[in-house]
Amino acid sequence: MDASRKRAEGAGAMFDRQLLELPGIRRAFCAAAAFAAAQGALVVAMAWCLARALTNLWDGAAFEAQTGLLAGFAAGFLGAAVVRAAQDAWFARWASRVASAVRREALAAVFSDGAALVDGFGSAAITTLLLEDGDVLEKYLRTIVPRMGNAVVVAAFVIAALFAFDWVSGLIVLVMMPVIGLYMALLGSMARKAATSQRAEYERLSNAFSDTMRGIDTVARLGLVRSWERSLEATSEKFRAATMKVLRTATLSGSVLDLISTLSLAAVAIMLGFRLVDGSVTLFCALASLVLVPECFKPVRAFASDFHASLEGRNALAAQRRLMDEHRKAARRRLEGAQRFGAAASAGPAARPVDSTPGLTLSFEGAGVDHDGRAALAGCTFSVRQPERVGIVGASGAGKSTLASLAAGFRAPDAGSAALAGACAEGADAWRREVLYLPQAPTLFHGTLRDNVALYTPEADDEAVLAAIRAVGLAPLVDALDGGLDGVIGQGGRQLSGGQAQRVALARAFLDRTRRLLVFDEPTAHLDVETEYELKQAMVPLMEGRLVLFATHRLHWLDVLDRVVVLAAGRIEFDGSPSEALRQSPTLRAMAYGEGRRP
Amino acid sequence: MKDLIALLRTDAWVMPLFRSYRKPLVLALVLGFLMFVFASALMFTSGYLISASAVVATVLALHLPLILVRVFGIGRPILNYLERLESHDWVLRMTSKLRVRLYRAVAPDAVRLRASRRTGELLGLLADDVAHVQDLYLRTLFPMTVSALLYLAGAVCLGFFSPMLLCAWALALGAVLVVLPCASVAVVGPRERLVKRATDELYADLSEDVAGANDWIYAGREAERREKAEERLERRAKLREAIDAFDRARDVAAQACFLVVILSLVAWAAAAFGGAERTGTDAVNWIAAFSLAFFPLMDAFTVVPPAAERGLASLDAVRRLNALDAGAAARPAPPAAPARLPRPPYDIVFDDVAFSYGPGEPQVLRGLTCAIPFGQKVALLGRSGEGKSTLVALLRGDFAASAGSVTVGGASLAGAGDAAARFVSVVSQDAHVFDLSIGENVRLGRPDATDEDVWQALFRVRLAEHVRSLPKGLATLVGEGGCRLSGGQRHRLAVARVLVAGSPVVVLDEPFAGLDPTTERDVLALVADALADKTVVLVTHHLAGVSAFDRVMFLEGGRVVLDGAPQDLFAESERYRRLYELDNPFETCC
Repeated sequence: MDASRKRAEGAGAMFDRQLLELPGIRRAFCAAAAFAAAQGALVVAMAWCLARALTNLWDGAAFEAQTGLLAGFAAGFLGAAVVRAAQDAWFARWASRVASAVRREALAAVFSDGAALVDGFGSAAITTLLLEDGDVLEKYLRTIVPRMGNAVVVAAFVIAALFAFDWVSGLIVLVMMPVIGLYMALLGSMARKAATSQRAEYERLSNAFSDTMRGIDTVARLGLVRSWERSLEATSEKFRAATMKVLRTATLSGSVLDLISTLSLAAVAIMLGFRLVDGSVTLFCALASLVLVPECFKPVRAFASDFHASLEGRNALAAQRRLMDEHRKAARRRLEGAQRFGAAASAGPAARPVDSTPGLTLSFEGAGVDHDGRAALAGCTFSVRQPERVGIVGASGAGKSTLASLAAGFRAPDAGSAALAGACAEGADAWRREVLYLPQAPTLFHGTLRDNVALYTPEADDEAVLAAIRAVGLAPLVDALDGGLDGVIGQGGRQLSGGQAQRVALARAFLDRTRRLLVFDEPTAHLDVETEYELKQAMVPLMEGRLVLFATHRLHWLDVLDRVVVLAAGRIEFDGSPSEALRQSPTLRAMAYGEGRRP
Repeated sequence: MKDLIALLRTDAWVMPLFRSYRKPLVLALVLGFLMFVFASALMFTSGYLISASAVVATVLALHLPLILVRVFGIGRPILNYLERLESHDWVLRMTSKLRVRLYRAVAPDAVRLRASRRTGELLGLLADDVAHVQDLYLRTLFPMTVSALLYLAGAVCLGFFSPMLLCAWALALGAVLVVLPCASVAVVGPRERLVKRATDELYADLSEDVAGANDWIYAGREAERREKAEERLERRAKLREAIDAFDRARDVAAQACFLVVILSLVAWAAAAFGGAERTGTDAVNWIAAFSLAFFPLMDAFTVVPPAAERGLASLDAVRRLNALDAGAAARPAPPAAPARLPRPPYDIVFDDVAFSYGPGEPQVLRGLTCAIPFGQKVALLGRSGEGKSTLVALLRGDFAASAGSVTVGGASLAGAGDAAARFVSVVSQDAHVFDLSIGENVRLGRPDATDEDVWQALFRVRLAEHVRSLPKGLATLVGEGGCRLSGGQRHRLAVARVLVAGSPVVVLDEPFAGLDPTTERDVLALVADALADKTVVLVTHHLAGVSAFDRVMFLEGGRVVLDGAPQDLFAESERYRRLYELDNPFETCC
């Protein structure tokens, strides 16, 4: 975001109730107050010493006689600086601890809920929360609490001292404080209104440039390079005018604080002048007051200065709050649906069954999933038994992916139940041990090819890994990769094509024969038809003896499936053999034959 | 340090801009400078006023100081306000110019840039870099220059009075303005770079972790992964702690330097104006004045060392912008504008075309020859990476063939720039939908299209009803990247653009990826109908709906391996039959 834009947006209350819920916040406030008290005392001592020394000098005393006082002043001055550094160190550590705790909480949530959380919240949003928001939060916490403490306690100390030296000066400053608060609130809301009323348009203008950059090859392809430049200039100019308009008000808000503090100083000086002439105040007290007045406003200015950081900080806190709410919701769903999300362990062997060990049964009973208020899936009732292969077919948006994610155990249904019987473990763990999920974009991570293929079976030896790789047709990649099995793929390593990535996922399935439930979610729709053909040859052997759920709209898969469930608008329209489905299901017929075409 | 100076000397982006906007820049600097002068003068005058009031009998004698206190008291905030407005206005103007220049540097080469891998992030970074240059001015250059001006002015004034004082001022403040910033840059610079690298790596790793969390959970290895992530975060936090510790020490050192200045001022004032012999005269009133005058100036000087540190990040931005020019120079020169433009009939001829993206890059096309007469509908297939998109790029003239020739209507479009769009329109998979209204987006195809034309095009891609149902109709904004539309709707909008453009050759580069087959088939039929009198090249990886096409070509190994009418290929090629059945499993004939 532009610096100017940040300033324009920043007027707003800095304090947030969410602050009060953070761990250790009470201790932090106490610490802030303690540090501020020390600072306040040192500042007053510093003012006292300097004023005394200057008065003596004015009276004609020798400079050498003032060394003691000046040393006191120096000690106060440096002492205050050291206390500030110590305060910063304390709060840096505290903020870092809190931010760490927030991050760890978020990470734990991600690694316990998995897709249920990530899909709902957004993978990019979570990464931002972990990194940038965490940093912003840290910066916010590190500055907001001590500054608050300073603004209150240091100002209190200084005003009290002012009263002690000269009650009129003290009064002037004391009266100005709430005036500052009022003006800032007023101007802040004015600036915010100015910013919000034009917000949508303003956002568009400010994003116009990055929008252009992102679509710049489209601009080039449309042959608009030159004319776009003109409109870019016009947009920039409009943006500048709009920003300046908002800035005029926003800057006023900061300038008011400046004005009030400077005018207070001037007013105090003038009053002191008059009263000195009168004789109602001594030079020492007057000088001390003069030194102290700016020290009153300094912490208040510091508190008010970092508007945009506090705005971002509050947003970061809010984002974290939202994530944890989602996490709690997911946990609640799991708990409530515990009986719905059940699994009965087989009475059988203690050892982990191999893939051909039959007996795994997946059943849905009136299962439904809500998404954004509407039902993505409703009233699904069917059950499949190993070694059946069931296709889940429907148009896009019909609920195939939702049903696939239910089948893979990513989340509990919002209504009805889903159960996996005959598994090797209980509860949600059953799913996690039995399922292999193969989506369109399999997870590849920055690591060696071997590590990626052996994701589920880290103990597999090179022999087994190579066998799996050969079985799925990935051998050319091993040859082409620098380092073969040790070659690095994923982010920052070699980028794999869609087909190659899918083969890595298949190799994983090949290696891990203990998982008996295979859930495919459109694994080949985005690939070219030749690669799809080859992958199909590799996939069919994998399905031997396992329980397979295959969600797709590519209908050629029907010839390797025993059964098909047709979904339409989130409900099961048909459940039966492929040939029957082709005869009786209107949705499938439309997909297979198109409108107005005959078989 | 050395490369910093080298950068500043060779910089062709930021410094020239600063120079061309000299007047407002100087005005802002003067305002900033005066602001601090007024602040200092306020304390000075107040100090004198108070000291003088202690001996004077009536207030009238203090007439001048009273006025001055008021003037300085009101003047300073006004100057502050004006300076901020002026600074921001200037920065915004400069930013506009910078953006346009960045656009000019990137746009003509946009398609070639896209061919290189890191473009997305590069472009995003560049957009941010403009914001960094703003910061460079506002948070680094401006405060440092104002401080430097104050330093010099102070040195000149104090030099008048006493060489000793001048020494103290010059040395103590020199430490704050020069030594501490240099130390910051030297110590913190490399650490900041480490932190930045750690952050970038963390970002990549955390994205992976989050996206693949499910897999790790299902593999039963999530604890291991989570611990790794926490460990990486810890390491980065430690690096930043070290930087903070240095910053704290540096700030205390700066305060010590200020203390030296204050004490020197007091000592000198005491000697110059104090002493038993001057008691009762006006002279003693100057002691407090001089002693207190420095306090407000500390605000100007304290920000300099941190500003230097912050400037480092902004300088990276300047470096990247300058690297753009170097990058452009390193890339092969774009082809020269063609001698003549295509003329009807717009037949396309590829004659023994060979192409690779660069000297070290593999040959994407080798000896490709084919001819597409005007009005033919061609489906182009092949695996990813086999050269389909390259063929399209050559057709459009984004690149020139390394060998052989590519002509449309008898002329090559290489180097034609904007003019090429009149003859060849391309809808690609990643066609960007801009944050404008629906009507404006469609009109990008042909800016002088009427509303009628736009509605026609929308009707043909089956978006007309949806748009009519929207409250603002054609004027509805589509949001960033077209986020208010679904993926399929975005694709169709991009196709509508091309329909409106009316060029003789239309290329659709996998425009239907992600659409379900029914919609894909229908839209293909519609498009084939709407473009009946034009040449259509459809790059696709499916054989769905291919019966609407006159000809199917397969690319493999940089050449055309299968080429013919769909029925003929079905009859003659086993390979074609196999693939066709995959896409059309329930058809008895093609």
